Amino acid sequence: MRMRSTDCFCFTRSAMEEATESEQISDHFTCAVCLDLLYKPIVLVCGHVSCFWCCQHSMHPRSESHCPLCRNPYHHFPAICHMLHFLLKKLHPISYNRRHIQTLEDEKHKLEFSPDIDSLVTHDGLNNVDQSSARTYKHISVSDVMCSACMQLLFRPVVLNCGHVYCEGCITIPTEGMLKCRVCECRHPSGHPKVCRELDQFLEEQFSLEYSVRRSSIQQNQDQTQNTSSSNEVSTQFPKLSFPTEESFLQWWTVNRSKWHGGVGCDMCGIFPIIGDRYKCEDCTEKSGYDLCGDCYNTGSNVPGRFNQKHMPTHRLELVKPAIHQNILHRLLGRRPPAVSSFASRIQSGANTERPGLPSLSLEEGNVLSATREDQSSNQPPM
Amino acid sequence: MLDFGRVQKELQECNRDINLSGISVNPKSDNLINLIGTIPGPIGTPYEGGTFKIDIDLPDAYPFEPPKMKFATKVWHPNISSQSGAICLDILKDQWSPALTLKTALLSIQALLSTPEPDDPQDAVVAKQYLTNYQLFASTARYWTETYAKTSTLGVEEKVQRLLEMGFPEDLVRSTLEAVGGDENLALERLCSG
Repeated sequence: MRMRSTDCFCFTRSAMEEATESEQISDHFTCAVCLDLLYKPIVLVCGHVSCFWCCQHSMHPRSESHCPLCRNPYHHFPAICHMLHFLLKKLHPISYNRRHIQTLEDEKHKLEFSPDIDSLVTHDGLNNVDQSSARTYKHISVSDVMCSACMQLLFRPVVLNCGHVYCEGCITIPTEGMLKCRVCECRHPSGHPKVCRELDQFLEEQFSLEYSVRRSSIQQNQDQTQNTSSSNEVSTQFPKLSFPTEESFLQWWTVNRSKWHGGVGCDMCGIFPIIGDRYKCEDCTEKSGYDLCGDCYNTGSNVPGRFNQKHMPTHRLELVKPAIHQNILHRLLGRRPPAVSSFASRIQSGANTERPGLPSLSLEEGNVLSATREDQSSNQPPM
Repeated sequence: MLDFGRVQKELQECNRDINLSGISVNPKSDNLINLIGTIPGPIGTPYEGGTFKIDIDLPDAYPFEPPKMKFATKVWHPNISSQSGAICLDILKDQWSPALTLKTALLSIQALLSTPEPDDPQDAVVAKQYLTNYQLFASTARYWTETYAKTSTLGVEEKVQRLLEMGFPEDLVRSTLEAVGGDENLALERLCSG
């Protein structure tokens, strides 16, 4: 997927439309960026929610992005939270439909589309339920806000990178490897997700009785298990990505430019921009294109695309060579001839991981290349 | 394209509690790109009693880019240019976040008036004065507030009247007063010498 931050969107909202809308939108579900009802909500790892496009436009095309609300740095553009999407659709059918029409109009204008969730879900047969009773929904039930693991009312909900929602207590970060979603098996690369406070407060208000039952039963469980072990101490053991920050970008780029794909994100895990190998689909014709990062290419993608691309498993994916000229590299490293060959070959293999902000060329080669990813060998692209 | 929906919402929201905050934002003309914001000078500062106007230009990518803000009212402050009104404030630059609004930005500017940061100055002359001679800084800032930021123009009119009585032509009196920043004595000096 290719993104440009300069493209901005507008809502051609007439005063009439707004006036006829009688629904009161609760503050819980107002997007802090567009100040309107959340549309196709995504939840960041810090637990803050925004609309699909609001998040996408807020992301930094070159370096790491920050949550608009708490400035927490993040690298992955999360997938839309389907549960919240359908919840909002039920809660505010008129406003949500208005947002749908507005957004679609805008998407047609710039030829970039957000995923068409409603049609995706039809395949699962879920949409039938939705359509038959869409007009009569006044209430929502617990079945609309269930944990994907314990199948009970969500208690202190957290949302994974893939958009699936769990109770905070229902996910355990494995000591080795990465947390995987039980539903879609997608990896959650962004560290321990924080509770989505807005959803949590909404649940507590809406289902006060059920919520307090859940609270007491969970507290009981905790009291029992606390004596035996305190395994919550597992710290985040995710492979640390070398990611540029805004401040250290130039420095970082001097070292890592050969594996940096500015403005291009992975359509599976959502990492943006892609650092390392990038595979581009040769058959997707959409404006946004279809790209995968090296990790997701190796795991195999089952995601159609972040921007509603019609990507098929039969499509051809090709490794995009780092756009660096050998002679530029030589010029850059010209003063240190012995280092050139090995340095060049190592960074072109593109799979090493350094800390961001390394003082670029004055570094000893050993320092630059000291931290290599564990699974480097398995990540080598089939050439 | 600018997100007009959001700007409209912001204006409504901001002008709803105008009595509470004293902060308002209004369109300059019939578009929503050029706006004018007003903030009251914070109580207990040399800016107390003044009403400061701020020019706001919204870039196309707003709210993903910060609004361009500068003082339209002349103000004597280490982090605000006494010449151009340019504001040195991080949230109007690299620390901007799309969750901030025009109102929160204006509130931050109001807070900046209360707590100058002379170590990161926009106007070096003012900052130096602030650090070396605070009393003089405070009286100058107060004088500028009286002269430029008072809603009634009585102060200026009185000066004009006095200078007119001395026999100078009105056009010249007004232009000279403006050129010296409202200082009556400086204006008189210049009028006599010129």
